[in-house]
Amino acid sequence: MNPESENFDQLRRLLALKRHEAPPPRYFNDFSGQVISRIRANEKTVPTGISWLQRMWASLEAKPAMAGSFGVAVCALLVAGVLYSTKMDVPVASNNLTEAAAFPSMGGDSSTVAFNQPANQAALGYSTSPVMPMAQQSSSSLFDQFTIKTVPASFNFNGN
Amino acid sequence: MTNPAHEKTEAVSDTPPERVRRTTVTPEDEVDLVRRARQGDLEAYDELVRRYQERIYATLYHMTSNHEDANDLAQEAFIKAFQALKSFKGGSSFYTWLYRIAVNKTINFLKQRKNKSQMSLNDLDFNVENDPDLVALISDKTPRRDAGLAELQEKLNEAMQKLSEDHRMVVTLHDVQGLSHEEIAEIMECNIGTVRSRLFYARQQMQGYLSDYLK
Repeated sequence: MNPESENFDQLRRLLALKRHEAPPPRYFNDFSGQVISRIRANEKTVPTGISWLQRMWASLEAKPAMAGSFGVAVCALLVAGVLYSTKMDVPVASNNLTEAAAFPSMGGDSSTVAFNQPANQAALGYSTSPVMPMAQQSSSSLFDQFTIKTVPASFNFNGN
Repeated sequence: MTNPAHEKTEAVSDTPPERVRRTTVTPEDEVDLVRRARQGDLEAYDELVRRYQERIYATLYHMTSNHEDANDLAQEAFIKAFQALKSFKGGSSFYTWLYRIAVNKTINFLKQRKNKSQMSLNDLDFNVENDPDLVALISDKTPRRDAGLAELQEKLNEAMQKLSEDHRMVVTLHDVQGLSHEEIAEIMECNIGTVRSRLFYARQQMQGYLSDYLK
């Protein structure tokens, strides 16, 4: 497709009219002065140069391709994070099942209740040992206090 | 890629005459000015602004069909370019790099302004009466040339505003400003084939909009 092969001569002659649209006389006399004044004013408001964030923003604005690749990189990181977190969930679930299967033989009803608490699933993912004191793990919830009491109870039962 | 800073004299079939009337700027001179401006020399940058202000303003004016918007955008483009000068590696000419900043800024502005456009047109200069292309076009159509020109100017700008930003930019840069396909491709960061196809469709659309004036 060659735009020159078509007959656009009249249109191009008409477009020549655009070149005669001019700003008022002496319009550009002060244009560069205004630009420089605004640059000076900006420099005064920014005390110690441009921060790295502003420089990055400026470079992203100047190059849309860079902005696009930055966006893609952020999305890729997000997707990788999600995939990684779902992979981490798989052993948690299997551990939970293993523990749940093991507990009936122990006969600790109260412990089973404790392991089935959703609030404790994260804690179980990092420790397959029921002996581990729950107090060492993060206890941001009031429900953690409850599990601290119940877990040792099952082991006392097994030890006897 | 030709350096637009050089005096360009080759006869391209569709190159408008205005294209040839460029100021002579030696590349060494410009490189020195850019180097000084990068170091914060505002006098050097003032000189660079003076060199390109008319061309940048004209491009933005043809894109917006609004004198005030073009003025604001041109000033902001120059300020942005100064702030980003440290990231200018010299891979392209300063002129192309500056144009790219101005073009991106204008396209973003137009996308935000969508459907809120109000034309604020500049007057036609006195030379319009002597432009052979226009004399031939107008004298065939209207006995009252002044009225004909004003009407044509308005219709032409309306037709330009109906084009998408990318199509309008290609028509502005090529048919009005006289830049080559290669330069436009570099400014708009696309390949030459894309420039050609955009130019073709833009011209086709404009021919449709202005069919009453192009018989």
